[in-house]
Parts: sequence; structure tokens; C-alpha cells
Amino acid sequence: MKRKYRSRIQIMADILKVIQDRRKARLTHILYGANLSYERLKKYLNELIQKGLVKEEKEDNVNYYIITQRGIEFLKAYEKIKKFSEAFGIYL
Amino acid sequence: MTLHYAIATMNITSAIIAFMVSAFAYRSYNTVKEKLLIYIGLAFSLIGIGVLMKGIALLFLSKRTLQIAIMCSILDSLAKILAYLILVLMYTIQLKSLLYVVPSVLLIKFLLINPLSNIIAIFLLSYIIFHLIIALINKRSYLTLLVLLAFISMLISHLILIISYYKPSLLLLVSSNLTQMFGFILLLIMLISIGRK
Repeated sequence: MKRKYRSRIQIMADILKVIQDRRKARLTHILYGANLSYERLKKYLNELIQKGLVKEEKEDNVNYYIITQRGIEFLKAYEKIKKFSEAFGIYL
Repeated sequence: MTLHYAIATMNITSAIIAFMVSAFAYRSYNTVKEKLLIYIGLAFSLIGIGVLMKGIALLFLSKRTLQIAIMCSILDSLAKILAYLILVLMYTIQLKSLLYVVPSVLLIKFLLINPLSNIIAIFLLSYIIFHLIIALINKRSYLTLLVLLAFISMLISHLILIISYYKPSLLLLVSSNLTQMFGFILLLIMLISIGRK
């Protein structure tokens, strides 16, 4: 019953996890970590920034992405929801 | 403490846990917008309302309120069947393989033949349990095991009720309510485990 494709929310959580693990992630790190194409990743990152879950910082002409407190809280809530859903046999 | 107070307490406790599960499901839906979570929320809200109504009716049971208590008991059965139907619908929406569709067709056929509410509930619960066993095989999760055991307890509770119709006994009545409450306690443990991790 496992889904072949990741849901939108799962992709967002994967991106947030990669950023959280690295504390400060570059675009290429997220690209490999979340296994996404450049265009899709940019689209998701813009959405995450808009929602205040991620913030963008520039250092030595390199863009870095940092998870916000709201992003950390979202990730925690998501993990709980994932466990709750899986307990009922629902895969997000 | 007389028997109906004890059963009322068990029902009210079960209702509170059912509302906690449904609140968690609604909150989860607000965060991740997964529609299937609404089905869980709705199903447990219905179970909670039914069990609470029955519990309150039993708490204030007297000669004057006897009719209301019977009415609440019938409404509780209807609410549970509706809730199980919602869960069956949820698992059917999730279906991808034709193999899983076969039992659901058989189930609908059976529903049309047999009008007894407890038997319907048992078959609906069997369907839900079947899906949870598959989920447990797929992902050996302790939390899924708790939910599976909770639904098995609810099924056993309905089985005991059927037996009690043919062989009326206070022990069976209490056992049925205790088993149901045990199922809800397992759901509470599941919620607490999620909160801790």
C-alpha cells in the first residue's frame, strides 16, 4: 500500500530535514538530499520561504537556506502526524 | 456503585478518548491537508458522540428517563456503524489493487442481507482490521499494532454483545463495555506515545 510518489507535504518535510541536518544548507546540498530537480526545488523553497518555514541568507556571494523556528515546529508536528497516520495504515 | 454507573463511567471515559483521537486527526488535517485524516476525525467524533450520549443517559438512568436511555443506546449503535462505514470508505479510497476490492464487494452484499447492527459492525470492523494487518505487515510499527489491537477490542466487544443477546448476562454486558474501553485506552496509549517521541 506504499505510495510510489512522495506527496507535496512529504517533499516539503524532506527539504526541511535536509536543511535542519546541515543547519545551513546550500542549494546543491538540498538538491541531492531531497532528490529533486532544480526547478521543482526552487518552487518548493519559494513556498517554504513564503510560509516562513525557511529563510534565505547570503554569505560570500553564496545563498544559504536556514530552517526557522516555525519550520522546526512544523517538522516536529509533521513527524507526529506521520506516525499517527501510519498507525491507521495511512501513508502521507 | 451500581452497575449502570460503572458502565456509564466506562462509556464517558471511552468518549473522551475518542474525542482526543478525533481532535488530533482534525489538527493533523489542518497542518498537512491530507483528506483521509478527516475521515478518522469524523469517525471518532461519531463514536465519541454515540458513546457519550449512552454514558450520560445511563448516568441519569431512572424510570422516567428509561425511554431516553434506550433511544441513546440505539443512536450509539447507529453512530458506531456510520463511523465504521466512514473508516471502511477511507480504506477503500486508499485501495489500489483489485485484490482488496473483492472483500469490499462481498461486504456490501452482506450488509444488504443482514440487518443486525452488531453483525454489520463486526463485518465493517473485520474490513478495517484486515487493512490494519496489511499496514502492520508493510511497516512493523508499534503504533499500528496498538490501533489494530484497539479495533480488535471493539470487534470483540460487539461479539460479546451478540452473545449477550442470546444469553443475557450482566457479566457479558460489563465485559463488552470493558473490552470497548480497553480498545480506547490502547488508542490513548498510541496518542501518548506519539506525543512523547
